[in-house]
Amino acid sequence: MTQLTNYKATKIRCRQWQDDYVIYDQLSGDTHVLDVVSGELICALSKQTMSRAKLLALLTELYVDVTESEIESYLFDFIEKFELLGLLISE
Amino acid sequence: MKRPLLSCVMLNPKQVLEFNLPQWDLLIRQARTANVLASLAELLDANALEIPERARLHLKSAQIHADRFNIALAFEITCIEKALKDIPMALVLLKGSAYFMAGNNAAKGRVFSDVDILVPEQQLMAVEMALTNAGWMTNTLDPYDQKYYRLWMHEIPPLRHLKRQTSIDVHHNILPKTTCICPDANKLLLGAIKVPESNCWVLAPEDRVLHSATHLFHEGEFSQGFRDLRDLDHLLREFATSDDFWPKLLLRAIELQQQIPLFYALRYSHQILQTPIPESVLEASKQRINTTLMDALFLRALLPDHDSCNDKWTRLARSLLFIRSHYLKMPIYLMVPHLLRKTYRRVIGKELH
Amino acid sequence: MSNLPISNIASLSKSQLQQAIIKGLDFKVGCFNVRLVSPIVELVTHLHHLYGANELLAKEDFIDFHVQLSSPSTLRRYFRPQVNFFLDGYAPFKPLPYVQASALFEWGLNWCIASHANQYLIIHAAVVERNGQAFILPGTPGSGKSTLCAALVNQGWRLLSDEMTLLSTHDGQIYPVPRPISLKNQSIDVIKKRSPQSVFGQIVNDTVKGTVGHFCPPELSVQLGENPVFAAKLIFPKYKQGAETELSTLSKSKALLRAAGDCFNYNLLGVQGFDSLSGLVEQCACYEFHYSNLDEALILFTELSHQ
Repeated sequence: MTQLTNYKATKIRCRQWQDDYVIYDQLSGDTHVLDVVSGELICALSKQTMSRAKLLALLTELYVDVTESEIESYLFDFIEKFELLGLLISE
Repeated sequence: MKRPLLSCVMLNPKQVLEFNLPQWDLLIRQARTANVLASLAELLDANALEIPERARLHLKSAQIHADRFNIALAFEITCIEKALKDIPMALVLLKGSAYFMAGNNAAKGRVFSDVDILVPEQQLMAVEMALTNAGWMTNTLDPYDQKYYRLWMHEIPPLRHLKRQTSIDVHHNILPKTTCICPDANKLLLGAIKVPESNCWVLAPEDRVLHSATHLFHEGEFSQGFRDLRDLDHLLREFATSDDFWPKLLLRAIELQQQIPLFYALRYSHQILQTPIPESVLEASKQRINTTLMDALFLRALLPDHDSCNDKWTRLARSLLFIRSHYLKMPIYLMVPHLLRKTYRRVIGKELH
Repeated sequence: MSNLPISNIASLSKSQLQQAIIKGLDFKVGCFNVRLVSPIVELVTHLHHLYGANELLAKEDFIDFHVQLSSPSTLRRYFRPQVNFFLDGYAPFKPLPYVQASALFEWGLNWCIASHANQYLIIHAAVVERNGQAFILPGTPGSGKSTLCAALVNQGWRLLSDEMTLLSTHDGQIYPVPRPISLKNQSIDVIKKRSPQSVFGQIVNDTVKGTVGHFCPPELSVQLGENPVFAAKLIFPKYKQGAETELSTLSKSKALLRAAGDCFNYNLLGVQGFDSLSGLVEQCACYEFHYSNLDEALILFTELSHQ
């Protein structure tokens, strides 16, 4: 994953209730329940392609009282997990 | 024999404007039995015809089915592309998945359950291994069934994906090795064309028609016969817009030694679905065949297998064609024990193919 | 005989009904038109007892499901006879023992609706109504939803369905398909004891589901068979012997995921299924419900119907 990589979500439908996001993957037909931070990220990515820097900035807004390295680590795990789920593609 | 209501409507959709409710009822039932209900829905939609509410709901229900399958098929093809990307060969799709990727009219409203691909015989093992590594598994552990597919037929046993439960059939030819006249698969692969904006390939138009014809007229079970004939009708109508299509088709049939299936395809598509085929082409495709007998069989078996379309000879016609298909696929010393085994396994509920 | 209009199944005598079924009896089942053709005498009794309120179709109409039940005409009919279910000539199941004909009719009709009515998102759930509010009770076998549904209906709740909740993807309402309520094993005795006036059909033993019986839905529920209603509560029941009566709120996301797992055609409907189910959990109060005492359950449900 380079600094120049951009990310976007595959075709999904999002619904949110309080602290939960429910995501429907229109390609695979899978339904996922996500925590509020992952949900916000993936829904933002379904609307526009975002660079790593933009994602980090968004995470910093969502996650308060967390260090920079924890945010980097969270983003790394998020990208890995959602690419594996087929919900995220990198360009 | 009387033309079924379904055929009449497919030839002239506006007829439905005169229909009463029992006629709509029968139309829906014939279409459902023939597995073309979604296709009928597309046809009626395209003609913007008014449909009674109950009938409309059944048509809509079938369209939902077809739409979902299209999405699943697109996804399945990308998964297969991924699994086979390291193998040095073109990914050639066959039948329904080919019509879908190529955007053929035959794909509209059609539900395709399996994906069929054609691979060079020398790549079979690599393909099977790559698919297995990506989560596909063979359903068939019975040694006889394994032998049936690998040694005698033109494919490895069907593979099923563990998670998605979808099936893929990997062919190395379009007809079994045991058939008297087996086409040269390399010729088919060499003629394949790439689908724009995709990593997939499909057979050339005349080969797509010939494959469809070969498949249908070597078939033993005709429960999908009307639907498969309709695929042929769609393909012929679509490809006939090219000036050189008919001569190419006739020449290719000779080259691949599939003149007989082509003759049947053109004859019955023309007679049952009124496919517009030039008289000269019908004449040129003629073969030395007892058409009285074959008409008696195919003009029955290729109609929807519904009480309203069958007559007292239909069951016999279907049974004779069943035996014929096995006779075509394998020599008699293999056919007789195979049919006996099939009958026994059907009775005990273990039949696979 | 009750004061039913001339056009209902109860208006036919048993022998008239038998003659009609041999040729083809056309009648309404909720929003569906069904034709039944069968020579089986036990089915005549089944319809006579349990489908009396169902309207006969007055004239030549569009039939949604052409259903046939018959015995295979093989040598088997002389020993261990069987019965087959057909939808327009297609048999979706293996044959069952002849004595299970009435149960097979019910299961077959369930299959017809579940397989051919994709204008609805179909949830494997009972659905009842009171005060204009539909309560949906999804449940796997053993959850107690059928017993709960039967008890509620006997207390005056309207039955929309005991097995299949039909959620319209078009207008978001629940469409009824009120049919004989299916009960299994001990539930049959529980309901018979609580409501001795309930009219039961044949009790069939040794089916794949154990002992199975059906009882007659309330006449009014059948008469309202074409009146849809919006859902207000989505309640996942769980019967456990000795359990305290407990209703706990379920988060909407969890409710959606659970309900999706209980649908027949959620995957088939794709994004439309997701949208419909999201809309449902949005508009409903969602709960988990643990119980062992039916009386307490009924009181709680009645209270809920006023909220």
